[in-house]
Amino acid sequence: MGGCLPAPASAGGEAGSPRLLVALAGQPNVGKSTVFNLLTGLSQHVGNWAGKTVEKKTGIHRHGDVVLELVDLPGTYSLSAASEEELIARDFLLAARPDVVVAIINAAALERHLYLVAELLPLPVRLVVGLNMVDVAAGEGGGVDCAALERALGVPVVPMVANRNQGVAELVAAVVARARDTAPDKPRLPGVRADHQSVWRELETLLGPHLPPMLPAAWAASKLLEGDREVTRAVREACPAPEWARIERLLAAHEDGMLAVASGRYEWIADVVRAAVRRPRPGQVSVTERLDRWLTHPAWGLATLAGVFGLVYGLTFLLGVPLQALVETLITRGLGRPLSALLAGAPWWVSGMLLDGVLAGAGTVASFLPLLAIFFAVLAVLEDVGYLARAAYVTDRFMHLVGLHGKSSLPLLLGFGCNVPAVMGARILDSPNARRLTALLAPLVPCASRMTVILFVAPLFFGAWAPLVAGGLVLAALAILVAVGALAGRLLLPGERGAFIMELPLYHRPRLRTVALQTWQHSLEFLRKAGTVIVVFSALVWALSALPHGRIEDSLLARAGQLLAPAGALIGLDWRLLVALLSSFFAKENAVASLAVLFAGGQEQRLGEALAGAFSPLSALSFLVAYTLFVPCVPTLATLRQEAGGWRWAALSFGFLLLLSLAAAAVVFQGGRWLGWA
Amino acid sequence: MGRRGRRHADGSILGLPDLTREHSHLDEEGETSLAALPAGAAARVLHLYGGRELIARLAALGFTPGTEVRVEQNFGRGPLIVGLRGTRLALGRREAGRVHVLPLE
Repeated sequence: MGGCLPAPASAGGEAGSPRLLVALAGQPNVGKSTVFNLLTGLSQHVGNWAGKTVEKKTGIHRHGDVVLELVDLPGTYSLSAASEEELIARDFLLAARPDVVVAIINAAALERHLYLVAELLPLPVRLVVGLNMVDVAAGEGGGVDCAALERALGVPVVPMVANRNQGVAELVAAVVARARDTAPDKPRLPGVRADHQSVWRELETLLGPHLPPMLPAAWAASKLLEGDREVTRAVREACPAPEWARIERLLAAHEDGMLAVASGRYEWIADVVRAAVRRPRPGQVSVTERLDRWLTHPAWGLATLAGVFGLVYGLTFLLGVPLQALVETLITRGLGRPLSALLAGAPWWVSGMLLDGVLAGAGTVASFLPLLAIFFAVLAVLEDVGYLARAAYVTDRFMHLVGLHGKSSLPLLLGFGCNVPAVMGARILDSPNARRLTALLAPLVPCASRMTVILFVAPLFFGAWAPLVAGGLVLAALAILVAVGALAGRLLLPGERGAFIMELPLYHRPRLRTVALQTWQHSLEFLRKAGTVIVVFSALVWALSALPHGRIEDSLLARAGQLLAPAGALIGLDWRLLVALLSSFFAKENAVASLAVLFAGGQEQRLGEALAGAFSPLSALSFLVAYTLFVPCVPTLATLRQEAGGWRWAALSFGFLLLLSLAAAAVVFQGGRWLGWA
Repeated sequence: MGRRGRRHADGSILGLPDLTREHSHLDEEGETSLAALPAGAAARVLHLYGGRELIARLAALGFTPGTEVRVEQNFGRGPLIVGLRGTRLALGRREAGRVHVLPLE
């Protein structure tokens, strides 16, 4: 835990310095990232806050001769240190002492967003407020008077529409101007509710002489009343024993102080809003209310969600599969042919490694990307429109079966595209246990990559029944997810799950920039985490399937497969299907490529007949069951290790899913035989 | 410094009261929880019960005593939709149960 007492100034600071440290603060989904991306462009660096799984983004922006070092603080509703994000944001503000803090707030939800401003103003920072989404506020009939807001707050306010790049340059100019003016802010500060005024003042007087000069006593007094652990510890260490004893007595007598402090902030907000908001209250609300009557209904809402997701999936594969084929052709024609001509004189293992290993791997990644990008884009549209929050809401009851709440649905829905961003997406949950459980369950969501394999294999064996088989596999995987979640939640991760509290934004038209940014970020996560791993392992799988003699029939891979053949008999798979299953461990889509190598000399066109002739439908079904539930792919496991904190959870997921997939396939195969299907 | 290092049941050092316990003696006439109100009902927030983190979240979102709220959706099971301060919030049933209110006409 970072201490809350400020360390000496570490960056910038002195007047006239050409470098400025600027922190961006704001609530989640306020457009803070849009502003950050506009300002930093390609100079941004994405990492984690020291020792945390919270993303830290930094970047550089030049304004004339001034260099702005921007730090994107985690999105938070307040600075109460109730979550890791809030603690990080607060520690940074106090310890790194940025030259200017920019608070991005939403003009269309001014009241709620001013809460964070109420927390920032009492800190020893120079604040500039970016009043974002002024267009939305005006459109809803509740315009904000910027000059009046500035007067009421006592700090500069810049109106903006960040997703149309309006007001961002003015914001930078205001930041630089504010940094040049060395006078401290003189804002009108929020107080506490009247019935706690006197104890607040008394605490302030007691604390005052003992705190470091940069820590305002009034702020510390509020935090003590709020029961803030970090500040309490810091004050206890700073104060002499007699003062601390008095402080403690005061606090014991005012244990409901937290609500008095929050009420004080909202009283201050009410004053500010009264001064600055011209006409409150919108017409958009009625549209949202009418839509929500249907979309959040326990029955119709769930039906709609199923329909919407069916459409998303249909659209993804309808558009994505032809694109995938196109990219594949482009790569074999554009890169494969020239490269093989170039390698004509090289030893077989060099050309094999490069063409069938590295290039094939890169081709897998490149051809899979359009499919994934379409899925993420459609999902980003649903999120931006405001629908995904409703999806979380209607699935809340369902997620309680798993011991989680509705918010966990959001990363899990992402998992239908790719499990890697799903595991990372579990970060949005505020309880560490819920985060871990969600990340552990994510690999049970059949990703798009698995779906392509299932949709390739199923029609070969089941003809018109194929959609039913594919749908059944998805539903079975989800049913198992629920069962596993209920069990694992109780046995492995008991205890606090965090609260289900979510804003339901007003519905609005999707914004191209937001959708594009989301799609780009999720695709990038896939490329970064999965891309390199897939290429490396594709080369490795090639080596295993070709060494030592250049033939797959007596390769290392074949020998491993043959070794496992007795076990395979139990689930109706011969060594070739086992090899295909094993190769999906490196990347799920590898299964088809492996089958192509094993059955048709690498030609996927002929694979269909070859496969259909070689196995019974029951074997194929058993293979699909094992494949759908098989261990997470390497990129997912690596992400799981990073997000859940340690190899322990990744190993658990691996071991459990290995057993589960084989057991399920055995049940299907042996059950089918018993019923006389094969 | 007798209390230094002493930890309370909820892990806090300060020793906030155990607010998860129902304070029946504080009940005002007609006091009820948000979860018990039907859709369409308006009410005024009286108090929040729960751990420090839950109270901090609810308070930051505007559930402070005296605030007027409106139950937009409540099917008796599952989560609720609550309107307050001009926005709509989804609230788990457990969380809604921790917000005590006085129904308005």
